[in-house]
Amino acid sequence: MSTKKIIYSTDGLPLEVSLRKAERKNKLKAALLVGPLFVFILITYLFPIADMLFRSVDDRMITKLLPKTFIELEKWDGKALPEENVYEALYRDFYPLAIAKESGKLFQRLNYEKSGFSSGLKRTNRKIKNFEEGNFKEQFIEAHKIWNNVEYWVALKNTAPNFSYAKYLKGLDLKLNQDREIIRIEEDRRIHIILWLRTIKVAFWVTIFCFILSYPIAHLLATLPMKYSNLLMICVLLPFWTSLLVRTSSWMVLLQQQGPINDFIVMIGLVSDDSRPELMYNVVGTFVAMTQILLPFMVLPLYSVMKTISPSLMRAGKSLGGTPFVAFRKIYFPLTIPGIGAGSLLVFILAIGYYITPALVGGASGSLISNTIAYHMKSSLDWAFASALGAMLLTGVMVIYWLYNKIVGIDNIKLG
Amino acid sequence: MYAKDTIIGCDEGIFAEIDFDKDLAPAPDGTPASEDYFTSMPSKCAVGNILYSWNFAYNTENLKSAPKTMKDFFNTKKFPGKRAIYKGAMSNLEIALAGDGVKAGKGGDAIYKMLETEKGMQRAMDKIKALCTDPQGGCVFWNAGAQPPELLANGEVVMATGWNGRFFNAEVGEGSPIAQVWDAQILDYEYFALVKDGPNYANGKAMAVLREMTSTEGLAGSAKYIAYAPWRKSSIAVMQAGEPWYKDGKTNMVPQMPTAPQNTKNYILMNPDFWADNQDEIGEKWEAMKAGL
Repeated sequence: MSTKKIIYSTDGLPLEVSLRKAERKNKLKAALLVGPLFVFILITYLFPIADMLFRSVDDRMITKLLPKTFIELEKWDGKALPEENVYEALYRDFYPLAIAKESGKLFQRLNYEKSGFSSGLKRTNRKIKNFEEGNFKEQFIEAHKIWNNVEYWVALKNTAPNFSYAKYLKGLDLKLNQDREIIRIEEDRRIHIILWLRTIKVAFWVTIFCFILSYPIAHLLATLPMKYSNLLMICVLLPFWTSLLVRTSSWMVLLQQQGPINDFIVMIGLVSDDSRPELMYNVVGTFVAMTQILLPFMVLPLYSVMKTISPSLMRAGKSLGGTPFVAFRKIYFPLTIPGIGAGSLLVFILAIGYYITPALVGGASGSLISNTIAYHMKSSLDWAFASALGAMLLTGVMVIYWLYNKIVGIDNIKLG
Repeated sequence: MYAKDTIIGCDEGIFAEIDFDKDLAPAPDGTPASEDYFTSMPSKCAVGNILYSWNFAYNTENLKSAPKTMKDFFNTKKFPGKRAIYKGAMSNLEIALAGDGVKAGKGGDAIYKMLETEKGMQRAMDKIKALCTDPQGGCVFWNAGAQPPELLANGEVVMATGWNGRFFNAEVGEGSPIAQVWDAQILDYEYFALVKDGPNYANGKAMAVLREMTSTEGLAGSAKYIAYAPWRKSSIAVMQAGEPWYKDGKTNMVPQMPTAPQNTKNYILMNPDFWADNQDEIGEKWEAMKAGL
């Protein structure tokens, strides 16, 4: 039986305390070394991401531009057309904006809420300078018919809250109607669910293909004598020396209708010259190019795990009476699961966010959610929506990671 | 830049308003600038630069007979093979209606009127969808101007829409076996705009450069290198007098101009107001259609 004895160090303090003091110095040194990198990442990575996520819910611009209108709209019940007081408030807000040429931002932003706002507001913008005092409801309706349509006023009122999750609904093909219920968007505009499912499907199958192709390669690399395996390793890593764009462009040349791959299969007689299969500008092109580009990411983790498996284990299995296949199944394969886990996670997460390859070889039917995000960033300029989609993608990936942790366990990943 | 962008920028106060007679150079014969331009400007901030054309071309080696009209572009029975069309809705809806037999009317007015209606819009979208899902047809979407001639040259598509200047360069400059078709071409315009309060705005240097670029000689000079029509009537006269005008010294440029009479038998004038007002809504439907292909 021992009682707890406090051990003292040479300077008279308890050992734990002076241990902690010494550790603190080390920790401070480590923090200072990492400090610059951390600040760099904070500024260039974390702040922009936080800003992007904030943008996806931030909805204060309209209320700032039309304050009086929203005060009046609060009392409106949303059923019939608003009363004269709302129209007058709109005039008081809109007129100074039109004169100062500051109303432009309203057009685009409200058009995202409901199409038709842009043309209605533009025409109103031109005519509002000639409005007379009083009787505003009549003058607005005369300027453009949207002011006579309850749906537009509802859409305007829906932008009142400072923060709105409407963009997230749009990313799932839903929207808010008059009564603030969630309903599905019109049938001919439901694209996002299709794209989400397609993205997950492509990422999943690319991971599977990569796995099937990389396992033998990694095994070969791990078991060959050093001089051969080094050479093969260079072959696996060589693609990394060329830029991603170059690799994808070379796939464009290979997969063309009149390209070498099609010429080859026509030459060996598999298909006739008139019915060349379409390998590009569809999902096939996306699959092939993405698999090739992501292959090294699966080979390397598998290789580094396989390298640690001693060959004597397989020999032992076989000598205990197992066929080579049984030995493989029961001994080798389970030992490589950490590597498979690492490789699959890496490839899947990369594949889900892939943009360049689907954009170049995917065509219309092979484009993924990242292409839509790019479209909204560059063309339609609806940054709030692009941010919302990005946030959804981020959440999806984190959910997958959490699921993976639950099922396989993150501690079961080894990168070597 | 495009007309719709000059309209948006002018509305938002980003661009400076230009007084044609005061700021721009007159024609050599003294005509003031405001009268020397083919058509009026879409906004007070735009100065016309060139007229170019969205037309289509085909590979003469791949097709047995030559397509002559926009209807042929959509006719996959007579001309099987993939087509290349622009990745956005702009220009595609107009040619879809033209290819479906709708007469353009004066400068394409009838087509745009039809596009303003639900039925017309649906008809255009369905025509494009039919072309893209046709087993004898199929679409490839291009986004960079250099792609259509390239897709034609490497045999990926049999017909492609594109910008006439690029087709001209491929045909004359590089000797590709492509030929252009001008039926139902969409005349589009490019403008200059002057950003207000730029570094050289106050000292007038930026305006002086603009004046030089939009003078008769300046605009005619650009036609030496690419087949885009200068906006000023006096520039065409300068080119006519100096034929062959192209930089190789052999090719006549005036017949290559989108505005040449033999090319404007059936044409559409791109309507910037239609697109400025509707591009967001149409864009949504268009992307949805593409995603469902």
